[in-house]
Amino acid sequence: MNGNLLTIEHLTKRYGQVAALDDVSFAVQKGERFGVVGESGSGKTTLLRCILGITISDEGRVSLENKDITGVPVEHRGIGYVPQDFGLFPHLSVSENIAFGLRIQKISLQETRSRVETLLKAMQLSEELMSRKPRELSGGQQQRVALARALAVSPKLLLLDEPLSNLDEATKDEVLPYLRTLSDRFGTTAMFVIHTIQDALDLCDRIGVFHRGRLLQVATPHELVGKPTTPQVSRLLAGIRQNHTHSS
Amino acid sequence: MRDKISFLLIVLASLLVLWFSVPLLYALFRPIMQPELLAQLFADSRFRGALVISISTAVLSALLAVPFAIAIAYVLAFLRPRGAILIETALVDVPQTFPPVAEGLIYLVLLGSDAPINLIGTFAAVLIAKFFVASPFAIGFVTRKFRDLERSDIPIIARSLGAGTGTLLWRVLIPLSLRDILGGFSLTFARAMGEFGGTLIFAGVIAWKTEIIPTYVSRVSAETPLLALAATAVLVVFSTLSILTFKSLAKRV
Repeated sequence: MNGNLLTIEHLTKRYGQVAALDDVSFAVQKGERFGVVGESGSGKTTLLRCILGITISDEGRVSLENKDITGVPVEHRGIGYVPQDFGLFPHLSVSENIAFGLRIQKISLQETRSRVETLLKAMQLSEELMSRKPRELSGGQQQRVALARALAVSPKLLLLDEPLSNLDEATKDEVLPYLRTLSDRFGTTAMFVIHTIQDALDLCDRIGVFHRGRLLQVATPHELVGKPTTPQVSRLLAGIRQNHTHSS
Repeated sequence: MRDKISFLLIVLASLLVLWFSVPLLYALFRPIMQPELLAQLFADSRFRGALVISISTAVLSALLAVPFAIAIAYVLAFLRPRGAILIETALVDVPQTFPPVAEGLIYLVLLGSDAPINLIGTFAAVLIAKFFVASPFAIGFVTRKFRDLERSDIPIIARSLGAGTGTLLWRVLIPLSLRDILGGFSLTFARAMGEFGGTLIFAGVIAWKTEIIPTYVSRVSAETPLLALAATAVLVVFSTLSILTFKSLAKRV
C-alpha cells in the first residue's frame, strides 16, 4: 500500500434537478492506474472537471496528499491533464509544447532542453520531430507528445480523458505501453476516464464504475469481472464476460 | 448548368455583384478617366489634410480597439459575468446599428462646452467618434474567437501546466487569435475611414484638424461633385487595399 494520493469525499454536483455527481467518495493510491468508467451521463466528465478544478462542486471535498484542494485554482493544483483530442497547442512546435510548463516554472533554457530531450526519448519520439507542428504528427505521436508535455512538470496526478477512444487499433497498441508504465517510469499516479470497459480492464489497476452520478463499485479488474455488485455493473460487463466465457 | 436552382442562385449572386460593383467601379474609373481631377484633388491642401487626419485617426482607432477588444473578449468568454449578453449587445450590436449622427450628438453634450472636458472641434473628438462606430468590429471578432477557444480544452491544459491569466493570454489565446485580431483590426480601420455623421456633429469640419475625407466629400460635393467623386475614389482604393493587405497578412499567420 502506497497511501492515498487523491481522496474524494461526498462530492456532489447538481445541474438543476439532475445530480451529475451524487455523494461520491473514493480514494486513489499513489502510483496507481485508476479507471473511471461509465456510460454517457454517468458523471465521469463532471468528476474529472471537479478534480481538475474547472467545476466547483456543490458539496464535498477533493484532497491531494491529504491537502484540501477543493477551492484551489487549476494552475496551482499540480494535476496534469491529457484530453481526448490531446489538446496540443497548434501554434507551437513539439518541443515548445513540451517545454510550455517548464517555461512557466522559469526553469533554465539548458535544463528545459535537457528535460525535453529526455521526455522525447522516453516517448520514443525522434529528435527530428522537435520542430514540427502538431498537425504534422500522427495520432499516436500526438498522444505521446501530449503525455510528454503533461509529464514535463512532474504532476502528482495525471488525468487522461478517453485516452484510447480516438485511436485505431494499431495506434492503441502503440500507445498502451506508455500508459501502462506511467507510474514505473515517471512516478506519476494516473486516472483514466474511459467509456469502454474493455479498455479500462486492459489498462487499470482498479476501476470505479459510475452510473447516473453515483459510484457503484470500486474494484480490481479481476474482482469486477468476477463479482459485480449491482445489476448496472453486470450489464456493463455483460459483453466482456461473454467474451471471457467464449475465450475460456 | 446543373439544375434550375443553381442557375437561379448564380443569377441572384451576379445581380448582387453588379449592384455593388457598378457604383464602386464608377467612383473609381470616372476620376481615372479625368487625371486632371486627381491632380486638382491632391493639389488641394484641405484634401491632403483630410487624408492625413482620416488615416491617422482610423489607424489609432484600430490600434486602440485591439487591447480593449482582447480585454472585453476575455471577460465575456472566460469570466462570463452576469449580463454578458447585455454587455455584448451594448458593445457590439448597438454601436453598429446606432445612427452615427445621434452618437455625435451624445458626445457633443457629454464632452461639449458645458461639460468639464470640452473636446468639440479637436483631433480627439474625431478619434472618439470613430472609435465608437468602428471598435465593435474588433470586439466582435476577438470575442467570437475567444469563445471558441474557451469551449476547447486548450485553456484548461495551459492552466493545468501552471499558466496564470497573463501567460494564458500572451502565450496561448492571443497567438491563436492573431488572424481574428488582424481581421478585427482591418475592419475597424476600414469602418473608421468611412465614418461621417458622428465626426461631423462632434468634431466639426476644421481643415488640418478635424476634417476627414467623408466630411471633405460632403463639403465639396455641392459645388464640385466630380472632385468629391475623386476623393471618394481615393477613400475606396485606400480602404480596399488596406483590407486586402490585412487579409493576406492574416492568411500567413
